[in-house]
Amino acid sequence: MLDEALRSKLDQIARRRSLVEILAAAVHGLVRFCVAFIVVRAVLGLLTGGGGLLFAFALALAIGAVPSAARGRIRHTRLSAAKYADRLLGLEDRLATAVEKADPNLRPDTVTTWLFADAARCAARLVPEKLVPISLPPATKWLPLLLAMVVILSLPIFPRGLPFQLGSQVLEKAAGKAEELLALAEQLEELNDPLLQEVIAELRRVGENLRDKKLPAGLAAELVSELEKEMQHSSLSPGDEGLEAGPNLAGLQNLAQRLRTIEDRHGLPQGQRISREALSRYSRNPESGAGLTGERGLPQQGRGNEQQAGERFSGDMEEWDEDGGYPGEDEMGFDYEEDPSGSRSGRSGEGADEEGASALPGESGWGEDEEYMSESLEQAVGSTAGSGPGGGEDGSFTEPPDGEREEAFLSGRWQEDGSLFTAPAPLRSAAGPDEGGSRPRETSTTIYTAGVEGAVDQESIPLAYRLWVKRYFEALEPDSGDNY
Amino acid sequence: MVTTRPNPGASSAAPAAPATRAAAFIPTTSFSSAEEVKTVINHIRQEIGKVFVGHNELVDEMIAAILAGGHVLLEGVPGLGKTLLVRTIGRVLDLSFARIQFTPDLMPADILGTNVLSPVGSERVFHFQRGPLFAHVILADEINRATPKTQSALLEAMQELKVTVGGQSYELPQPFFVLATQNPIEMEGTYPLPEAQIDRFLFKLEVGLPDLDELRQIIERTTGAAVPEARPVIGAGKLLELQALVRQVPLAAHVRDFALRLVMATHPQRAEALPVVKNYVRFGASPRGAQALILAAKAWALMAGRFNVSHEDIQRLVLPALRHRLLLNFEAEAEMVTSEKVLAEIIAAVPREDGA
Repeated sequence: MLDEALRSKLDQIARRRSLVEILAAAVHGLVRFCVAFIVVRAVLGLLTGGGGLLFAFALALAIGAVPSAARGRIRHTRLSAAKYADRLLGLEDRLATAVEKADPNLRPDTVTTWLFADAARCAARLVPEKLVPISLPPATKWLPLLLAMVVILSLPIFPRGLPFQLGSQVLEKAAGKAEELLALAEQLEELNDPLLQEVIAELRRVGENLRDKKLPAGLAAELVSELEKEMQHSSLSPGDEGLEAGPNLAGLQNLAQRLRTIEDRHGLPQGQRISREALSRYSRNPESGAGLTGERGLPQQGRGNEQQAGERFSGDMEEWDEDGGYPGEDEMGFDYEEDPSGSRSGRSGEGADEEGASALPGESGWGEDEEYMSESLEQAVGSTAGSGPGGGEDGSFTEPPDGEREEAFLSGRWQEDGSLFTAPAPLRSAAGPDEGGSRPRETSTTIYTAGVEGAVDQESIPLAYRLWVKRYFEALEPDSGDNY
Repeated sequence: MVTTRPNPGASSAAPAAPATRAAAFIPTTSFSSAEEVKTVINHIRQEIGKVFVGHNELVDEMIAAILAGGHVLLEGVPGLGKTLLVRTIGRVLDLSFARIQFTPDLMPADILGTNVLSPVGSERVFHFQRGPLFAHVILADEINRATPKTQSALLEAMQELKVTVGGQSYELPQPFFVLATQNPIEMEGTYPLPEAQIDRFLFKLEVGLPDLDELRQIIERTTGAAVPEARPVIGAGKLLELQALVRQVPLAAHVRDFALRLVMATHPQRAEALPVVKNYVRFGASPRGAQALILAAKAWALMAGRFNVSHEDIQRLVLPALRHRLLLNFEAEAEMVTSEKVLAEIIAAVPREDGA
């Protein structure tokens, strides 16, 4: 029968061949993966400006693994090992024939017995370590280079905005729009308010990202769209005269909120998001000249509630359409009754506060376009009126349709009737700090009239509201003083 | 008289195979070791080499054919020593030898024998007078000069190892070889061997011209005073034992399959046939060709001192075993394409391992 030493060596050879084959399959699979990833990633990266990383990875993984899996594992037996040794050592099929004829159930004839003896003599020539060295396949030498290329191509190294890239026009447009945003940041900086520094930095960073085409085309397109809306409706666009009246806090908050929502949807890392907290901090800081705190910005009219301005406040966004459209008149619950006396007899659930918003001329102010009003302001407005779309008649808040609920810091003050007054406020109050936050009504009305006339002329005010806004402020015109 | 017994290696469960002489006459081997087999075969080579100079490969192929129990067709021009080689082999193997010169007027009875009326006591009875075919080694010289009728008389003898005359069969002595010669250049007045006849030769060997050294030795040995003479090495019994050992040589499945793929590759009807086969071959090798190839390879392996058939054995013997079994078409003749060329391409194209 087959020699025991020969059998043992052949088994060793079979095991080592299996090992080498597995090793080779792994290396070749890895090389296939790397090559496929490099090609796919390079093409996709160039076309999309760095997109398609996961797709390239998945496709390369499939290309690398599928051939190996489809081929399956070749099972190396004693017979295959014998054939291998015969071929390598020039044994003219001695070992393979001996292994094949070594059937314990058959009695070997004379020549087969001689064959077994002949094969046993060959066992001395079998050195499994030499016949099947455990070594990496030649393709291994390319692996470091390929892996390095894979790592490099995984990094965001692809330029955006190249002419042949998908969405390059969007990025070009975004780059142009970024200049406006950067200009806005510059003008904010000229205000030299330390509390605005963080906001400025955020705006500047977003602007630079857009300018340098570092953001994906989809995100850039959305950002541009929102920037256009917000800067137009909130009068944040830097004009020739600059932000002479100071930035609109509501606009900034809206801008931050919109950008944050978009960035969240695009999954940008935390470090690349605009910090709304920075805006909130700015708006609720008692030392700020924004005037939203009762101490400085507006006349202190007492506190009818223990809840202080700047406390954490919960509200809902029920009145805001998901698609960003303007709410209809009915939806707004704007129940205005014209009163020739000019007295305030209407219920403004959307933010028309009885004290009058302290928007300066040129600022859109409160509620002229609710869609772009910041979430926090709208919540506050709902609570103030108690009957607006954002709140019930009893002042309670209804849950948003999708159950989402968000907390935000608000600035404002509690009025005598127990409602919270909050409104977009100028960064610099019309009333000087020495005036104790109070001013003559005639002065305010004049200011408002100029602002309203300017605002009404803007197309950004929905047509449905223009008449109401105009009438409202006409009703506030100073008269003999009987109604004051 | 040679004692015979059934082949011990034949399985009783196997389907009944056609009776062959090797299966029917296998003596118990007296060879005690592999070395003894090698020694005997080498001794045969040496003794033949004393008389027949050169052509070592031809001699080896002749020995392989004899060990495999096959007949050989030698083709070559006159004067190359074909007859000498056959005679020497008969002498070395210590076998009876008969030479039959084939001529157009040679009749079957002239080689097989005939019933003659002879007196036995007071009666006259028919008695079978054995012809020259009743010898171990038959030299059928210029076999293509006899008529097909006479050539066909050899069919039964070569395949069945017996002759039938007057309804009576007579066994031929064992071992029995027909070593036929034919002249390839004198085609006038010849009768080419029919396919059935030529297929019964295990090998067709071509005897070439000797080179200068060989020719010098031939002259020295044959023109001197002392004529070298070969001595018998083994007798018929030992030769039958060797033939039995040849059949015992193991054949691995993958080597067998390689041989079968080679044979199948000669068939132009197959879809995967090579272009050269499709273009120039009318009929490929028969299953008898595969049998011849395997048996010859076993003998060749034993002669090489191995106890298994290798791929190299198969490749080496494709030409002698298959060249006369390929029937080429007119295009091949017109373009001077020989069966050797076709087979060479087949050998180069067929892989050793299936799918390799």
